[in-house]
Parts: sequence; structure tokens; C-alpha cells
Amino acid sequence: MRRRLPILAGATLLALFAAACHKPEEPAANESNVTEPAKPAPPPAPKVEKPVEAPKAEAPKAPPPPEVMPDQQVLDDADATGMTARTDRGSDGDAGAAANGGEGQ
Amino acid sequence: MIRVPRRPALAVLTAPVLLAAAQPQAVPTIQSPPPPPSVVAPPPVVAPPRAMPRLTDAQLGELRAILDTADANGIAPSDATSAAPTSQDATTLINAALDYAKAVHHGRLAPEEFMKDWGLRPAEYDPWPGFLDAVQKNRLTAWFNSLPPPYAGYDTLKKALARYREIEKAGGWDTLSEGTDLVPGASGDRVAALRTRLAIEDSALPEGPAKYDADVTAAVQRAQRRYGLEPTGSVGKATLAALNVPAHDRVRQIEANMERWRWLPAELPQHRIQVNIAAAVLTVFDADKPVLSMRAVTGRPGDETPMLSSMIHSIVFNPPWNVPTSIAKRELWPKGAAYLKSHGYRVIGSGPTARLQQAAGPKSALGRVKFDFDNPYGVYLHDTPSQGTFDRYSRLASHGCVRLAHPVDLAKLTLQGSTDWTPDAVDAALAKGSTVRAPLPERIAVFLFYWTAYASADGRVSFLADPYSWDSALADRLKTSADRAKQQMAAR
Repeated sequence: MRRRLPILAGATLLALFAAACHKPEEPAANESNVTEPAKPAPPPAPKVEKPVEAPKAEAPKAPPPPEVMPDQQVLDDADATGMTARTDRGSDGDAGAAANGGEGQ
Repeated sequence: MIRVPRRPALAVLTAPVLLAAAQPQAVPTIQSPPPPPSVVAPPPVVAPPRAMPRLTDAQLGELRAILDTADANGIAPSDATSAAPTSQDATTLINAALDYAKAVHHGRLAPEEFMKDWGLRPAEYDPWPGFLDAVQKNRLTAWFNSLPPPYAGYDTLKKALARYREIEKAGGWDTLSEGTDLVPGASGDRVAALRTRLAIEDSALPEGPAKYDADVTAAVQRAQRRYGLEPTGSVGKATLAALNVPAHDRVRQIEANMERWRWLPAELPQHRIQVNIAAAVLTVFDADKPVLSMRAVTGRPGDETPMLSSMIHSIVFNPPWNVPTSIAKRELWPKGAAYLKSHGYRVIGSGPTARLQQAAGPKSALGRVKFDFDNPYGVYLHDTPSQGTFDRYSRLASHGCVRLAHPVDLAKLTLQGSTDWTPDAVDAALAKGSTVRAPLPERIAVFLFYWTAYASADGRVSFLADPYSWDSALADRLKTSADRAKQQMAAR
């Protein structure tokens, strides 16, 4: 917001300046009825193409992926290296080990 | 950096494990990477006759219900669940239940079916005493529920298995056609197919037109993160290849990773270091919580970093590098004497027994820090002067060791509590440049895992490439083992 006012003012001035410079060269349509200006060659009809993949050069760039905060990165990396937090398997959580005479796999 | 098989076969590792390994700095005998071992079916096990306990009808029904859900753990159920409880069928049912108990707790593979580099192995396990105890105390269901690996990573994969089996059952996904890279702004049939494909795994992608819009771009970036690829938002060859892995293969990948969870110890030390070789990432856990993580570089295919567990006992600052003969022969001797001299190598000995040692310093392949732990493969964690590799998304480039992006941070963390090796002392030792060994005040467990499929608590399932082809090797072995178990069951 703080930047908008100067930008708007600048843009208005620029628009005014531009208008002053160029308006006479571009008569309004209703003022140009004396001689029909030679019609510029119609631009070639835009090819109606099948939708295709946009060519690389014209393709807008993908926005950068959302940044991962350092703390979140550590958590993501922890997931990747193995979510080794123990889960509760109920009161028999170590039944397998106990019944096997103490297990240290 | 160096990875040298020193023994033809591994002993079963227990964790934390201290194997009487050769000194990592000794010049080892180099072996060419062996051909993939063929799976040799062990001879049928003739179990000594055991007096079967008498189970009540309710207990037999309980066993049937348990076996009906065995498949949820990725364990192929046996065929013993349908018969009425005649005495003979009860025996079959109990044998099937014992087979399942062993498979879900210890894994399906017999010791001889492990590849040489799969050094993280479960201890022998006999479910019989636990089963008898559970029968006597009439708590079969509780006992069976206690058997799978008690880790969140296993449970999230179990949910992922159910989800991807559903996807597979529903027809999976269509293969996306190859062509030019798909980029934001594109439209057409290929984009429509891409959108459909992404939505199968990503419920956050809304329905929309056949246009590569912001939603598709974000979904592609999410998919790339899940596949361990650079999140460019465009679909190039690598992303297309990951998207085109069939759903059936993803199911097998999940099952293979669930099997690896069964090789872990029943309990991990609260203070530990974990590396995922496939992702080339290291995490330090303190009091069971992740406190530090960093990028790593792990072994390239052909120089695989082995799965193992061990204990880091000391850190070497400014380590020299004793070059393994194979690396010297293949990569260094051909470069000539001038190169060797300019990079700090000196020749030790002469004749056919001559070997190379690179002096400590800025050019040392081991960088400024090396973390020593005993293991039969001659691998360790270390620094590297090749820092550029850490910027890559694919970081499998070492000779088998694990190179670290921030080894000094890790050194200071693991030396906390040492009166001699304060952070300032570490900095001073590094600055001085002479080689010195710092024993850790407490040894810290290190685990080198190979996870190519893992799921977050929110259900997001990540699939990495299988750079060593260990998933497919394991999946094949699992099938062989399951078939063998069925044959043995039928023969009883």
C-alpha cells in the first residue's frame, strides 16, 4: 500500500506525458472519416491449432517451489532416513522379545 | 570415499554392532564387485516334532482371523485358514500362524538369501515359545499384534500398502506418452493425461481443464519432491519416468521396504545417526528426536554403500587417505607422477606392493573430518573437498563411503560432553592441520539404511529411485521365500 500512491502518481504523469506526445498522431476513429486510411493488410488469420504443448521459449516459468523452513527440512529428512519413532503396540509390546528369551535383533 | 569388501561373507549383525573389523586406514585387498548372488533355496528344514498345544475353537477362530489379515503386512497368507477345526486342520493352522509370526517379526529371508551388502540383518527368531505363552494366557491377538516392527515408519508404510493396493486394484494409472518436456502453459491431451495421473496420488489437485495451470504446476512440484527429484514444476524425462512406474511396482517397492523394517533391532538407541543411502541424507536423533540433518553423498551404483549398523567411536581431524589399490590403479596411477605430487599423494613402498597415501590437507579426499566406526566394508562418514556435489538432487557419487555436507557441525555435536574437545578445540585442531584422533565421550550408534519408499504421518508417500536395484532383488527373494514356505507347509 505504501508504495502504491507514488506509483499511481508516477503512472498518471507518465500517462499524461505519453498522451501529450502521441495523441495528435492517432486521430480518433470518428475524426478519420474524410479519407479512409488504407487498411493495413489484415494480419494473417491466427492459426487455429490443436491445443498443443506450449513451446519452451514461450512457456511461463514455473514458480519456485515453496521454500522449506530449516526446522521442517530436518523433519522431512528424518522421515526420509526412517521414521524410527516407536509406536505403541499395546501392553504386549515386547511380547515377541520376551517370549524369545530377550531379543536384540 | 572408500568402500572395500574385506570378507567374502558377513556375520549376522546385531545392533549396536561392533565387528572386529580391519582398521579403515589399512590398505585393503580390493575385490571386483561380485556378480549378483543367485538365490539358493536352502534345504527343507526338518523341524523337530513339537507337541502341538490344544487350542479352543475360539482360539482357532482367532488364528484364522489373524491369518486373514496377514496380507495387510505384506505377508502372503498361507492356505490354512478355511478348514473346520478338525485336529489335523488345527495343526496346519498353527503351523501357518507360526510361519506368519516369524515372517512378520523377523522377515522372510533366510540368512543365505541376504546380499553381501545387506549388513543389517535380524537375529534368529523362534516364535514357538511366544506362541505357547500366548495360547496359555489366551491372548493370541495381542501377541500377534506385538510382532510387527514397532516403528512409525512401518505403520505408515502399512497404510500406504493398503492404499496402493487399492489403486492397483482399480486399474492403476495409464502410462504417459513420451514427447517434449511438458511445461507450465501447455495444454492438450498430454496435459489432460498428466492431470489425471497426478490426481491419483495427489488428492490436493483439483479437477480442471487440460491446461498446465498453477494447480498442475504445484502438483508436479509435489510429485517431484515425493520422488526425490528437483521440484522444477516441469515434466522432463526423470519426472515422466517416475510417474510411469506402474502401480504394481510401487506395491512391490512398499513390500520390500516393509521387509527391511523387520531387519531393524527391536529397539534403537535414543541417540543415533541415521543415513538413508538412497536419499543421500543424514539425520541425527537425540532423545529420539531429530536435531540435525544434512545432505550426504553415498555410493554410486557399482560402489554401493552397504546397509549396516555400528558405533562411531572416534573422529579423526585432518585425516590422511590411504588409497585402496583398486582406486589407485583405476583412477590415480594413470594420471602420472606430476598429478600425484600436486595433489599431495606419496608413494609408500615400491614394486607391486606400492601404495598411495594422500596427505591431510585441503585436497585430501577425506576432507578435514572422518568419523570412524568398525565395519567389515571399510566405509565411514567423512568430509569432502567436492562440495559442489551437495547441490545436486542425485547424490550417489562416492566409492561407498558417506560424504557429509556439514561434518564439522556433526563433529561438534557428537563431541558434546567432552572436556577436551570443546567446539573451540575442534576449530583449533582443524586450523592447525595436523592429524589427530578425538575419541567420542560416548559412542554413538550409526545406521545406514536403504529406504526407497516411506510415508509421512499425513499419508504422503515418497518413492525414490532404486539406484542399486535392491528393491527388485529383495522382491524376487521374498517371492521365492514365500513359495518355499508354502511348499514346506504343504509337506508337513
